[in-house]
Amino acid sequence: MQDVNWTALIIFALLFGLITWLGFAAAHWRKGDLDLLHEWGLGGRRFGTVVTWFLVGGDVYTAYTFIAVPALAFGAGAVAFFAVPYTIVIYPFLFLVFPRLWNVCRKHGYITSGDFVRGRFGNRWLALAIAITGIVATMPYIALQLVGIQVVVGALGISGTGFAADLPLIIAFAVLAAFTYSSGLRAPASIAIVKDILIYITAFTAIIVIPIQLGGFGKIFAAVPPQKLLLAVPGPNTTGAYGSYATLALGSALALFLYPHSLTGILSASSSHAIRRNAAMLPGYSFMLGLLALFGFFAIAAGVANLPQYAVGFKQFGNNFAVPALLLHSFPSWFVGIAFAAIGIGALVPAAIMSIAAANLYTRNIHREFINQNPTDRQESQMAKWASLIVKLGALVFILFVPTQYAIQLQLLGGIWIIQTLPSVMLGVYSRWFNDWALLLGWAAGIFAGTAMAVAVNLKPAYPLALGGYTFPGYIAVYTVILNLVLVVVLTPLFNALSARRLPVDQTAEADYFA
Amino acid sequence: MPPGTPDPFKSPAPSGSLWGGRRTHDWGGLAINTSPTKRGGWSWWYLLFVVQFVAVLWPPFYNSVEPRWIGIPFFYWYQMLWVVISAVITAAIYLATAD
Repeated sequence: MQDVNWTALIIFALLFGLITWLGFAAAHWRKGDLDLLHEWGLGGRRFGTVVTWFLVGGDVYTAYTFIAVPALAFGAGAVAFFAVPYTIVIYPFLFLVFPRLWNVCRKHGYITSGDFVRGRFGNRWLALAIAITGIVATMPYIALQLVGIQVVVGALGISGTGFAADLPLIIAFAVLAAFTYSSGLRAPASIAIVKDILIYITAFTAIIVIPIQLGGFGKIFAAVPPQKLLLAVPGPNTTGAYGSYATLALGSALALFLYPHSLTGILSASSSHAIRRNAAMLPGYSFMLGLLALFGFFAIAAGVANLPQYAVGFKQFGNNFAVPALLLHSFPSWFVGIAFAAIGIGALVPAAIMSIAAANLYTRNIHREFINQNPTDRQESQMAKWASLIVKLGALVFILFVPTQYAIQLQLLGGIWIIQTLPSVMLGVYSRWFNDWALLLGWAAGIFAGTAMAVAVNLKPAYPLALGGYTFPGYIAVYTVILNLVLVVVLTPLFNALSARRLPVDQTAEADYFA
Repeated sequence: MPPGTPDPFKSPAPSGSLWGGRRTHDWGGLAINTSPTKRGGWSWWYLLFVVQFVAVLWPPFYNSVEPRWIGIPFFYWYQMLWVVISAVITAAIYLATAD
């Protein structure tokens, strides 16, 4: 413990104390009966444009993003910048699809994507598939947020093995669990505001100060090895890095808003107009994500990998230590405390939202559907509170006892799985044409193929699809969702013909999708 | 559930005539509302989104170092610029399609 950076740690602890208080106080914000699931799990659907901006931003820009994107730039170079086109491509989907989803969910009291699919397609098994996919895909993501906290805590000098080193993480977990239990979604919504202020302060200060310290952008980019500065030009007969870059951006964009926590952020908005307005305003976060990727290059130029004081950190956390090392190297301790608090709090917000979203899914689409069909309001929200606790505990146990590499691999698989819900959810808001069993089969095929392809390439994101002498390396999620869609389109007329049902079962009306 | 909120778990009734007084086209079950004044309907403005897709999802357009801007290679500042442009495009579409 003798290497602890006390100034930074004190500031870090103070800011954490602030948001702990805020998380509990949030229960009284836009007051509602927290024994109702939509109050606990969706904040009563009352968050206006600005708060929605913070909340959705809190979903999208997680601690793991702040650590992992620069880490990728630090290690692999240009390819990390896929995060920028990824975010550019997200917003049209947000603009076109999600206001409709918001309207229909509000009209019918749907809280989860499982609820929507159940109502739209009338098939409880399809809804179950959607719900399970959502829960399973979210779990590694929560675990990785906790990794973000681990890295900054390690960077503060709290090192060593055993219980003492794990204690900060356990404390953070306990705080998170407590205020999520008591305040539901209002907690991360209020904390997201603090988190974003801290993140913006850190990012904008760093983008101005560090290049000046390092002698300008020209010098920074000169320090990056040439083969990492740009995408590798593809060889003959292959789309090479171009294909993987573009499909990684596109697939990640498609998948993002299918994650339960993104939907929770969206459904908690007070109107569909708030969502559309956000689609124009959220790009502020994209810009920052691009800046973050550049931090990886700043770290290369600052030479932190070779400095002895960071050797322990790099040994323990690998490239994930790049940003903490850069911050420690470039700023006085008090600012480092603020920056690390930004990252740490940036882990708690999405972890809270993710656990609430997973709990909503379990409560509505598994427990209520198959176990207790008629819960009272109180039983339902209690169930969700417990589920959220269990989900977080599972993530904590995972991070404490399982190597981080597994969490990363599971997260990759999770992205491939969650995109298989695209036909039912994203296309389902536009048309009822698809047959529910075809959707289920398409989903199953996508999951199976996606997992197989990922295993075949040792759990890397890109699969080299070989067609007629050409190779098309591409993100597995994109290829498998295409397979999924093709299957759905082919099987729908077939299953409709075989089915005795004359009219498609649909609880929703066309008018429900409009404001 | 709060009073007035429909219970999503009651047995769903088949939907009958739903279209109301709006202009709609029914293409074998795929119904699209084409009146641009109603929020949520199709508008030709949405095709502007294709611009930002093509601009950033085609790496050959921008996979180069030159021309630099304040020392930053083209690959990087081009994509960052498109963040700004796409925000403007989205804002324009929002205003153009708002009621």
